[in-house]
Amino acid sequence: MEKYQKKMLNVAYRLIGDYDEACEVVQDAFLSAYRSLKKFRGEARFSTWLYSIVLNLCKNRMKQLRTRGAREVYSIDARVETEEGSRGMDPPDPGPSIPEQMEKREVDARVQGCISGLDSEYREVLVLRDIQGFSYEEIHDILKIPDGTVKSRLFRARDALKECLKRVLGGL
Amino acid sequence: MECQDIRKNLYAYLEGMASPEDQELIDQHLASCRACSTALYELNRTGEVLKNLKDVEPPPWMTKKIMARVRQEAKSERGFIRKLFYPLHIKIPLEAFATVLIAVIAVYVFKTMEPEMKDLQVPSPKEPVIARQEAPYPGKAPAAETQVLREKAVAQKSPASTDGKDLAAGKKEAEERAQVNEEGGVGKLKEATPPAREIKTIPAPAPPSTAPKKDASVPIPAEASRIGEFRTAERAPSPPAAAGVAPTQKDKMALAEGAARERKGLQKAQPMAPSLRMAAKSKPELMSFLVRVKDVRLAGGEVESLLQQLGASRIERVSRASDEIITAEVKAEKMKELSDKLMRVGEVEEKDSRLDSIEKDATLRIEIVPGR
Repeated sequence: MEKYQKKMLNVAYRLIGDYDEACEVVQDAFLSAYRSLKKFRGEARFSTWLYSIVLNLCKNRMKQLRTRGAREVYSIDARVETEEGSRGMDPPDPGPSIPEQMEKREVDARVQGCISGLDSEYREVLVLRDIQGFSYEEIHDILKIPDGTVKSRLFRARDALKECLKRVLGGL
Repeated sequence: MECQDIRKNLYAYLEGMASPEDQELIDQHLASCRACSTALYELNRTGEVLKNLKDVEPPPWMTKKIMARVRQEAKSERGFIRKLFYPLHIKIPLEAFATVLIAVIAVYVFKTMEPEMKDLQVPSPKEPVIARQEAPYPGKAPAAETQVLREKAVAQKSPASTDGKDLAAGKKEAEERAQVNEEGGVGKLKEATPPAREIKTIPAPAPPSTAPKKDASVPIPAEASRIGEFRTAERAPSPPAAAGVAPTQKDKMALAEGAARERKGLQKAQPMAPSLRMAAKSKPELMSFLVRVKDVRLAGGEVESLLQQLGASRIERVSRASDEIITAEVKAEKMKELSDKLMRVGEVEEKDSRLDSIEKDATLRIEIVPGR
C-alpha cells in the first residue's frame, strides 16, 4: 500500500490542489479499491487501476469543491495581481530566472495555482506526464483516451501553463 | 516551415518524438528564428519547473487510517453475514419451538389424512363376504359347495373371532343358506338376499348381524376367483337372480369377468377397488348392450378403439373363449353416437331403453357374442 500511497497522494494533490482533500481522496481510493477488488480483472496493471480510481475520485471531489465555490480559480488569460501591481505577459528575462530567486515554497504554490487553473482534461494529462512521469501507454490506460489525444492535450496544457507561469513568476 | 507550425511541433521535438525530417527542419528554423528559440526555451523551462515540483509526503497516520477503514469495512461485512447465520441465544429456543411445531403439524396432518387413507386402502376382505352372503346364487349351485363355503367360513372365523355369539350367528346363517339352496325356495332366498344394488350401499362397518360373516371371510388365494365372481356380481346391474333358477347369460358374464380379473392377481385387483367404490358412490347410470358379431375378437378390438375414440374412461376388456365383455364409462353426449357406431360393428340385440333419455355419464357393459 505504501508503494502506491505517495504517488497517489501526489497525483491527487496536483489535481485538486488541496493537501487535506488529497489525503481524503487517497483513503477513499484505497477503500474503493478494496471493495472493488473482485471486479479487478487484471486487464490493466494494478497500479494503473489504482490511479484510475484516484483520478475518478479526484474529478468527483473537484466537482463538489466547485459547487461549494471553495476552489480558487486561476484563469490563464486573467491578469495576475502581484506585489508590484498588475502584470500582463512579460518578455523573457535574459538574466537569472525569476523562480530561482523566489522561495521554493512560493514557487510551488504559484505553479500549483497555474496547474489548478487549467481545464480538467489538460490538468490530468499534465500531472500524469510532466509531474509524475507516466508513460503515454500508462496515461492511455488510466484515462482511456488515445495516444494522439494525450499528446495534443499535453502540448496545449504545457503551452497554457507556460503562459501562466510567465505571468505568475514574472518569467521562466 | 512557418513559426506557427514549428511551435506546434516544439513539444514533440523536446520529447524526441519528431520525425528525423521534422527535427532537421526545426533545427534549421531555430537557428535563424529567435522567437521560436525563446518559445522552445520557455517550453523546456516549464517542463523543468513541473519536474522540480516538490513531492508532498503522505501524513504518517494515513496508512493506519486506511487500514482501520478497510478493517471496519471487512468487519461490517462479516457482521452482516454473522447476523444471518450466527446462532444467537434467542434463536435456539426459537429453533426448538419451530421443530416441535413442525412435528405437531405433521401429526395433525397425518391424523386428518388417516380416514381418507383408509378409504383409499385395499378394500377389506369383508366386502366379498357380504357379496358372497347376499349376492344371488345360481339355483343350480350344489349344496356341497355351500357346505364347503360354510366350512371355510367357520374355519376362518374361529381363530379370528372370540365372540361366541357371532360364531353361532354365522353358523346359523350359513346353515340357513345351505338349506335354502337345497330347497331351491325362491321366496326364502329373496328374503335372505337383497338386490345387488343394495349390497353396494352397505357401509364398511357392518351391522352386528353381518359381522360374523365378514369376519369369517379373510381372503385366501384359494378363494380368489370366487371373490372376483362376487365382486362382479356386486357391480352387475342385473337384478338378483332367484335361487334355483338357471344363471342367465349376464350372470355368467359377470362371473367370468370377475374370474378373469382375479386371475390377473389380487395385487392388481385390489388397487382398483377404490375406483370401483368411487364409481359406486357417484352412481353412474349402468347400461348394457348385447352385440352379435361374426368375429368376436375383431369386434372386441373395434369396440375398444371406438370407446377410446369417444373418450370413454375405465375401459376394461375381458376376452373369453366364445365372447367378450367390455365395460367403460362414457359421457352422456357420446352415448347416442356410440349406439350408432355399435350397430355398424354388429347386430345390437339388447339395447337399454334408457339410452335416449340419458342425461349423465353412464357405465356401459357391452357384451360381444358370436352369432351374426
